[in-house]
Amino acid sequence: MADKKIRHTFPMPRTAFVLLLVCVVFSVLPHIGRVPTWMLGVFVIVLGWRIQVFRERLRFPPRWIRLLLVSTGFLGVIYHHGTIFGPDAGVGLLITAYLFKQLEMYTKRDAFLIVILSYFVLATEFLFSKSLYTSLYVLLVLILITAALVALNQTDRTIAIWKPVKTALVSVLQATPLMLVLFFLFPRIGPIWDLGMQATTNRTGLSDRMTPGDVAELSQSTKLAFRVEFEGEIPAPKDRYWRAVVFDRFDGRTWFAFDDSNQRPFDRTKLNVRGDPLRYKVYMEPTGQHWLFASAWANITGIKHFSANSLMNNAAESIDYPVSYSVETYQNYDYEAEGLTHSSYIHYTALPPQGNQHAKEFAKQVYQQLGRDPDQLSSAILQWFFKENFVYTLKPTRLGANSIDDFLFSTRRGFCAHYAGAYVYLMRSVGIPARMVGGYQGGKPHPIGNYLLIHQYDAHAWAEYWVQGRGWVRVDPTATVAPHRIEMGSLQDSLDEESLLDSPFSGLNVRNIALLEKMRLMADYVDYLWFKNVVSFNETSQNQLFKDLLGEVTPQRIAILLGSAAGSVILILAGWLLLTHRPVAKLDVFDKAYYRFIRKLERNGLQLLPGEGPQSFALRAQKKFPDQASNISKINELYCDIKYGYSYASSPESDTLAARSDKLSPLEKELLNAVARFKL
Amino acid sequence: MSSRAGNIFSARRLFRSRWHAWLDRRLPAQNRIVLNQKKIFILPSMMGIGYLFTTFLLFLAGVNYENSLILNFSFFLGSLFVVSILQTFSNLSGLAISAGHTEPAFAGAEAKFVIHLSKTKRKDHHSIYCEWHGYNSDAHNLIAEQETQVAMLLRTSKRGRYQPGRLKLHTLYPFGLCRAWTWVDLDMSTLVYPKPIECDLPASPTVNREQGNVITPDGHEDFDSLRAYNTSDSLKTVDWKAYARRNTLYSKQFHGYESKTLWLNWHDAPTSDFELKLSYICFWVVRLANGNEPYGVNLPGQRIEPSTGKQHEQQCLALLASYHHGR
Repeated sequence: MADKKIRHTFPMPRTAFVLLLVCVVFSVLPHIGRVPTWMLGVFVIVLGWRIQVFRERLRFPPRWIRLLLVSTGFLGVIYHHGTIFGPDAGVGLLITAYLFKQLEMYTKRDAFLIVILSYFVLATEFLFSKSLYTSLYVLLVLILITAALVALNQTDRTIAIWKPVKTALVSVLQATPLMLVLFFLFPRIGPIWDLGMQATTNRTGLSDRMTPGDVAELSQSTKLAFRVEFEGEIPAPKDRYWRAVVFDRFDGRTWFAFDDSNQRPFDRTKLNVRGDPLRYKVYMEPTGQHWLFASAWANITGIKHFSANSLMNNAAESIDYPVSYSVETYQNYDYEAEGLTHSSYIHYTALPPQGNQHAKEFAKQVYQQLGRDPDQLSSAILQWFFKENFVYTLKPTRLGANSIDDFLFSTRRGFCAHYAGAYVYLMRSVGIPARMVGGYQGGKPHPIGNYLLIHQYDAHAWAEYWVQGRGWVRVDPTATVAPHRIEMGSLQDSLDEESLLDSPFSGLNVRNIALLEKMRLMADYVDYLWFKNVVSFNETSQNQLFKDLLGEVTPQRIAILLGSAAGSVILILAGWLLLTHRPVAKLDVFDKAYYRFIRKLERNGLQLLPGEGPQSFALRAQKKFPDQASNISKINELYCDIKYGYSYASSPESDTLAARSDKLSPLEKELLNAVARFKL
Repeated sequence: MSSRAGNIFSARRLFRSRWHAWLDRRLPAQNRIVLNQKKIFILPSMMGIGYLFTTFLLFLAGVNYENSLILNFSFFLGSLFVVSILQTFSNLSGLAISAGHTEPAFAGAEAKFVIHLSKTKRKDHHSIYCEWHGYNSDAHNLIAEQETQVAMLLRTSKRGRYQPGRLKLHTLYPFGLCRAWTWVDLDMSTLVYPKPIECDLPASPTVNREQGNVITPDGHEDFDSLRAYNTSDSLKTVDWKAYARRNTLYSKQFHGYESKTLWLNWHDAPTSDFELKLSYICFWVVRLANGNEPYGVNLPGQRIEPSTGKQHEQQCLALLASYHHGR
């Protein structure tokens, strides 16, 4: 029994072990955040233990310790995520199992399993990031894992560690053409089954409720929210609004987003459009929310979604991964201009009965003075914001229980949500349907690419009110208070003092910022191209490609195209690998030189007889060309020395082959020179 | 029931014989074989199947998550598998296998077979294993060297000419995902001597004494010469007269005329079993070969005249190895 426990470990080559360990560390590194922090310590212990086992300082841990370790790990991950479902928890569990497997690496098969798992763990990184830089990192680790696989199958232990890495690199390069063929031509199919994934990605950007009164300082994230690529000219900053969410309910302090469940669908018959359409493509970073970013009324294609009556667009799945979609929109449109349904009317004029009475009275008073004209009231409110001492700031004062009253009549400091919220409140006070809209505004045109970068700090809130005959009208109260915010395109530019609050470059001087900013933009451009051409390559783009290549697209044609492309790539590779190796040289350098010498003589009429040796040939040559006798004899001696070791065989130190082969090269050189100089 | 089993059995036998016939046509027996496309077989290894399964899982994940990059990762793994097929294939192709020497063995012991692996192309061959009749060699590499030799110890069972059949060469290099192999018939064989079994060979009747055929040194019959005394020499051999004359000790050397030529007779082996008889005789051949006395083997229909020496021993053993009834 006791003997059984002593495992005969597979004598793993050192290179394989080192490479395998490097792979494990590099494969897990990007996933570090997916396990609880304290487990990193456990991982270090596990790897350290494995290294000690390799160095024969320690034994593999007994079974109960392994069981204890791995179950603690699993429980830790489950506790950390609160679930075993979803990509985060799943990958957390996967890498826990993967790392603990290190302590069970006895046989070559175990080592191989670790290599396979490394590939798998590495690939899951693409669940969380698809950027070019992630992909380059993955490629690098991919080469290392492949090198570990090569090292596992290598038996020559004297070989240097770079040798398997080189083999792997060459193999990866050889695999690339076929991979590209498959990537572009292998028919893409939609999801086979619904994964029903839970959104566990950290939500960033907009949230589904907004309480401006509670915000003492709006955090400004420099993270990218999305990119927009226009088909034509990029519109002016004041026209660059992307809606995401409609805040329709207000409880006195907080605005709530429209509830997904009770949204009525968008009704095309209530829409009127004028002018030319504007087309663009949105490349969205993950948000963890369902909202899609698009202009007000947008025809979205390329993603499964639901267009609601509120002109919100909700994706079928939460956006946990980068996505892209196409948008067609009209700057000039009206919706529900004919009239609102009764329930909508009630919905968009609802206000809590208590609180903020001052604002209500104020609105009613002004409305009466203006002859109950909604448009007049709207401009009056904006005028008032402009004339009175309202300040746009990201560090507003906290507001009390009557947040609207406090803001309008005492603090008068706030950011977009304060203004939009107060505006909507005033409009609703007199029974005009109004709503707050959350989204993004502005964006920064990329200096190289024809696209806009919209960052989290471009998040914005504005308002819409409804009038008979014109439908929903967009109003941006912030524009009157801080026109820069809207016209310059980006808050970042208009607020010097606060602009770099949480940017990684704060603390650097302005010139460095400019340089770094340039580099950052350049990097973003490369990433954008990657995203546009590779990550977003899907069924639609593939169909377009097939149409361009084949004209008429039929399954047979696709099969022929794929088959011939893949077949020719494989054939070329096979030819290269199997046919291009030159045969082992039968003739040595000195033989070749000697044959040149013979040919020179043959051209001058002295033929080598069948079966004639060099000595006899040399004698005949000396007789025929007496003036060259010394040269001929020299060449002959040199050749015989090299070939048969005449004079050197007798010297005692030339006994070993090594000693002889060392001597060959100066002799060879001499022979080559002699033959080259030999002329008749 | 039994006829059905018989059918299956004969079908399998038919398949086997067809397969061997096909192999013989494709890879005929040769002393030197250069591996090329026609002679190499390749299939995914167990690890390769695991790898392909992982690739398929990633493909499904890529499709279901609509993740281009995971999909592409699976395409990459698939392409690497194709590269692996070609590289593993290429690792064997261009390799020349030639028959080397063999060393005979006694039945039940291991016979040594040596083969030579050499390059015919300017490329390296890594981690090549030989498998032959139950013997698994270590991995062999042809990297810096042009040629290497593989010595294999094959366990023999029966007396006679031993042909271990086809030699299998296989490799998993570089990725372990595919196994490329070949079955070559190098037309190698060796003799297997009978297994020596100890027995008492009845001394007197089986030993034929003949007079004066062979001169043996260290005999006791005729005086040969004098030599310097060794402490191990018997005092009886000391030439006391010479000592008296020169005051030095000399030993007298005698040589004998061989009078005890041993015949190992078939009928003297104390058994009636054919093979056992050969084993007994074999034991005595080995035993006598260590001594100096000439011995001969006398089998019905075949005999080897008495002699000594290595060559004689091998001749006798060879006879015992290949001896059959009725010869």
